[in-house]
Amino acid sequence: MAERRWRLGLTRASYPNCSRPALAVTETASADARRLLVALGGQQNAGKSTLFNLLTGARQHVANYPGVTVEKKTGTFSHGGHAIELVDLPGTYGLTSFSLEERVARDFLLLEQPDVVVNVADASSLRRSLRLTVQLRELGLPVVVALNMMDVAARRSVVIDTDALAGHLGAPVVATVGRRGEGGARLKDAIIARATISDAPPPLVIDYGAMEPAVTGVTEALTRHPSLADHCPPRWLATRLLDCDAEAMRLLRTHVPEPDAILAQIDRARADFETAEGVTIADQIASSREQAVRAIETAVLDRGTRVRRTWSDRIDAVVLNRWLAPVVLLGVIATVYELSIVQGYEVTHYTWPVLATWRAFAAGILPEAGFLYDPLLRALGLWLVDSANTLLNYVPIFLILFSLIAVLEDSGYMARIAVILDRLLRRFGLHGQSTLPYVLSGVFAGGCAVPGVMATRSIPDHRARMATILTAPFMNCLAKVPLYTLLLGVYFADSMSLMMFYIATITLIAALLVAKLLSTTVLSGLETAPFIMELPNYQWPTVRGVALRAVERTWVYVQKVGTVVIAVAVVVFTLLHLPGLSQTEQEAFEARGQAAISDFEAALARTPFAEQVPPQRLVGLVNAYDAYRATRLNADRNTADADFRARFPDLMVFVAPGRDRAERAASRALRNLASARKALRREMRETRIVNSVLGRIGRSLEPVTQFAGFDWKINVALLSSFAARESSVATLGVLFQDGADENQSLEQRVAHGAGGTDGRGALAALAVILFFALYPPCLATTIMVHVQTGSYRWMLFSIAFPTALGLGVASAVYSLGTAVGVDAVTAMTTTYLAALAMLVIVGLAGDWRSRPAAPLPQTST
Amino acid sequence: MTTLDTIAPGRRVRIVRVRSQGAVLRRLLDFGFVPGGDITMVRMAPLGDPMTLRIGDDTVAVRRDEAARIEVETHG
Ligand SMILES: Nc1nc2c(ncn2[C@@H]2O[C@H](COP(=O)(O)OP(=O)(O)OP(=O)(O)O)[C@@H](O)[C@H]2O)c(=O)[nH]1
Ligand SMILES: [Mg+2]
Repeated sequence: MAERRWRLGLTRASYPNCSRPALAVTETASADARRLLVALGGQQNAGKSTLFNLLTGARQHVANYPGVTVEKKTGTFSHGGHAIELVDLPGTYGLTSFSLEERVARDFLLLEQPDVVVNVADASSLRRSLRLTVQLRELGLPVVVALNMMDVAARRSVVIDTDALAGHLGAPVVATVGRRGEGGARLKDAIIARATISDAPPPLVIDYGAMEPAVTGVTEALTRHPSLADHCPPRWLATRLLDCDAEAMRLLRTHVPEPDAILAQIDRARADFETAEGVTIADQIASSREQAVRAIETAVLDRGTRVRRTWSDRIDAVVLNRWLAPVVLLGVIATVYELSIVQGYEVTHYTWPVLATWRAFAAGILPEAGFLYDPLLRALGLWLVDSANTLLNYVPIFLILFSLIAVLEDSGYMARIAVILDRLLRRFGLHGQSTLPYVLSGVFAGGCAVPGVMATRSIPDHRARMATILTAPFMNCLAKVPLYTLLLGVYFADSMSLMMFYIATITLIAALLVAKLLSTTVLSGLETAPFIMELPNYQWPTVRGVALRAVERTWVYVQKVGTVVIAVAVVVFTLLHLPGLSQTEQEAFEARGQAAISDFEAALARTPFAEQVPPQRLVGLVNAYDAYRATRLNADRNTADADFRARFPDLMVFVAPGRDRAERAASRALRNLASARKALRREMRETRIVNSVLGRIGRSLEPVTQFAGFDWKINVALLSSFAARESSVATLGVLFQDGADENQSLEQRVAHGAGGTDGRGALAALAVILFFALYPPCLATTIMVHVQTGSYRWMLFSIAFPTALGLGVASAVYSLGTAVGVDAVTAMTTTYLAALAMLVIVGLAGDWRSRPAAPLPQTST
Repeated sequence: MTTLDTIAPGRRVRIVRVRSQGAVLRRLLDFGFVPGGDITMVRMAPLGDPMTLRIGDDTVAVRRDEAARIEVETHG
């Protein structure tokens, strides 16, 4: 290996936002003896992930939206006898750390010492791509240029001389069309060739013009410190030091024992240059580099006849038109809502029976139920199946929703949405790119905050990113919908759609207001960034690309939400069951159970069937009877009959009595026994919950929550919904059982239990709805908040703040509403209008914020 | 001195200087906002901000706050 490999002595300390542990960078061994490490680097949207998929055959998110890959992904392939580990990096426009994902990419290139860096360049925007390539080559990295998007360039009749380009850059250039899978084999050859090269080209040297004497002087001084020269090209370091790059300074300080002399020399050189030329070093570097880039571009690129107005321009003329933009945007949102949420719910009517079958199957194989007490394994098993089912029920909706969002991203429209909404969102401390997280989290009445919070990574503005992470969970998570539907059905049946509209939009209003509040208070110290966003050309989404992303995001939902929900379901189960019934309660229930059995036996004794039901068959018979009723509700009578016959072929009279009086009496006796048992079990369950840990907590919270009108039952439901939203309805179902025997629906029972459908009950329901709308994210989301912010304090904040807010709003509405005596719909309308007014005031207040006034000191000509 | 945010849609201008610094400046440079470079103002976003520009082969959206720091001259 003649090639000199530069070691960079940078450690984690110099990269405060680097999530990887510190790396001890060591001298690299000869390349061919081990697996080659190859990085795919390049600017956003250049096609890195597409080429990654092409090379590895793996599936990687691909989208026509800058910043889709936000964490590095790794895959492997082998070629020509070499095993290659390929890393797909997030897009970087330059090598100066800017956004989080740019830091990820830069850290990898600098610290991890890849054997080859495949620089994916966009042939249709060669100049921009070259700005990065030139920097990579100045740093002496072993670059192979994959000149991608050659088809787009050809369509614009741009011709690029790749050989000449390779000569100028000192790096091989391979033309590719990632989307059509062209150029993969040649790229692999080039990677191997570059990794095993014997005489590597030296770092690229750019002519810094008038700054040359300064650069040469500092370079010479640096070369006298061999320990430093081992770490990176001295000339590169010299330009970075002259440019006051903080990380370069740190590098110097760690490797040069007495850096003061050199630092003084650098300061002098900088001052001399700037006074003599009247230009800052930063500008001189930029324009020299730009000159070099343009010189290369001119030498290798032939523009041909230029297409003056491309398709993208024409589409933008409509989509970004002042009057048409809102129409198009609302149309798109309405379509996404209709197709995913409305039609998606239709689809769940077909998928739910599948889940129900699976529950029945689980019920069949778990240990059989006792008369009053179930084996723990059965109770817990069914609890888990039910929890999982409520989650899986949303899968069809998410598949549709995430496919449509992928279409929006891939076509290029999502980037336009960011542009359209940036001004609005910025007023509230957010960013145009906050749109995608909000959309994923459910801005149109259904979504999931877990993928939503994940999607915040591409927001370059740190403060706006934090504000988005902390407010995206306010959006309407799909699992909140069942509780809304339940309560609206009970209390607001007449104004259901109006109320649903209020709920769906008040969460957005609340999110914007909270974002503003947070970014002017707790987040005000965080760094912000300018909005500079590339608008990619419009493209037809590929079926494969869209399907893969939809599946992957849904999978994240199932995986992340699923595991957390299942884990927490166990905890909630325990908290709802411990400590259980007291001795006396237990005895009382057993006595009543025995009485019911005696009644049954007495009734049966008057029929000829008594002998067929000895005590040891009794429990099995009642279970089979319940199963029969359940199957008949869900499926046809024949299946139910067949199932029952399989277990008790001689007892069919109990479920299918003929005209005979005795048969009907026997059947009636069993029905009575079954419903007596059901009622007893419900009562036991309720007593158990009242006694339970969670029940006690719910009760102990009543003094606080009474102002919001929440009784302990609601408290328990809300507490258990922190585990997963959907369990709130399930818990309410258990808690409001009076009247279940008369076959009342849960709606009727809740209404009855919560003080009737009169004004107070409705106000209390409204308070619950408002609290639920503003309620903290579910546990899975808070875990994602921790992942994305890297801090437990923000995670706790994301729980505590919405709880306080939700309780505050709910209490205010309930207490004021009861005091004034308004009806619930009026209360909601008032609350909504108040929130809306605040939104308008806060939004307009941003306007007289002064425009940028004083020019900054650093100027140039 | 004319700044980029005041340019009417459809006009083509040349950058004279970029009055920014630090990360913002570097970001602008990465996108080609370099003295001597040409920019075409394409249109304002529907709400009046950001503005869409054509620079080189790219279409780039930039907030007016940033554009106000970019001094330009019209082609003469
Ligand atoms: N026409 C054309 N489109 C391509 C080509 N390669 C990739 N694309 C498309 O370009 C878009 C961006 O591709 P990605 O692979 O996601 O780009 P990336 O570099 O990974 O982007 P980030 O992860 O956001 O930095 C997608 O819509 C691809 O389908 C190509 O050679 N020709
Ligand atoms: Mg990518």
